[in-house]
Amino acid sequence: MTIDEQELRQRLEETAAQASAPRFTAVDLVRQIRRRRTRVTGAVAGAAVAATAIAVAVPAALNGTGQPAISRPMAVRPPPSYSITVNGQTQAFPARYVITPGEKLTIILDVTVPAHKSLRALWVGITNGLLSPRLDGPANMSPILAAHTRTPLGPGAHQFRLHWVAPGGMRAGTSRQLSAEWIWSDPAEPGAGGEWIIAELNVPGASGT
Amino acid sequence: MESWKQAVAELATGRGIALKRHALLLCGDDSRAEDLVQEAFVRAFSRPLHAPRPGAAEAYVRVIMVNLYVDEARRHSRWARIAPLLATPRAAADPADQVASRDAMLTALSGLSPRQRACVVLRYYEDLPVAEIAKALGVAEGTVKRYLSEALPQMAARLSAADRG
Repeated sequence: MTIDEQELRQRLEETAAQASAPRFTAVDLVRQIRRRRTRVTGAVAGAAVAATAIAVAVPAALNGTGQPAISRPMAVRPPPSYSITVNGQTQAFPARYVITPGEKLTIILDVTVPAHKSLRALWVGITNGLLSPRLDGPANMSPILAAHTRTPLGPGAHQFRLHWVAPGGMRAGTSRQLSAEWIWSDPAEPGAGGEWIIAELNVPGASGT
Repeated sequence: MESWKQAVAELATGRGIALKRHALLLCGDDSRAEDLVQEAFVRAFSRPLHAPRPGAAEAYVRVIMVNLYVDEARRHSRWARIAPLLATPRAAADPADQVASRDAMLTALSGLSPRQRACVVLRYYEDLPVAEIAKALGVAEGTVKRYLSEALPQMAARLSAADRG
């Protein structure tokens, strides 16, 4: 049994035309998107960091060039600042790198913790489009390339040297992100922290994806 | 206005109904279609570093919609397997020919697997070439052709039965 393609197109058109007018508005959508963006980059609040997080990397070097002290509430606290070099190329934050499937990346990440602040925990790893800060550590980071969870990370610059091999199966037009999640070491706000995309790692090729 | 807000406003205002029609063919239900479109918008624009390029936003949202639909259907695969068996032909209770035709088509679509359905919608409603469908779904072109060749006889049989009944 066969179906005429022209007839199929026409019947699909007729069926689709029965959809009612959208009830959402641009304002609704902007509001939802803004809420999701806030959730993605927003602060983590609540319980302490899980002690079971596995440390896989330790800062390679320390020196003490901290940023000026700013004492403000959690919502406007300056986050740690990052600078990144991938395979010898340094870019300003937020960085975008073109990668190829299977490529070995050597990532040098400089994290600067503001003066008079410290991080109770810091994770750096690869995410696939979704950030979801959780109370007990990074939920959507795989693999975790660095985890500093045993001792606080004090003010100043800390360098992490990371290695990651882009999956061979990454399709053209897809990307991964190098992301960091941190928890402040602040008794007044236990569990407060945040998550940021530090660099977008793109496999070029497809339009719009 | 920030560029992403401008893009959302233009797309929602100018192409909202077209996107919802596409979504209706994918999921077969008006309110689910509404949710599907909204979620696709949110996913498309919620990552500041990965927002769609100007001019490509609609195609980007459509691809996200298809993948959201397929992913959701995969998560509810058990239900999806029995849903066609439980579906009642609403056309029988509705005197309008147009509505009957719509229901016949939705019933025919609902008998397909999620990927088959996505392929049919993208090929025969969106008029996308096989290569682009393959790229959107992340499968080989041959797989898309197979889905289409399997889907069409099934749809023909269901539509024919509905037209006779």
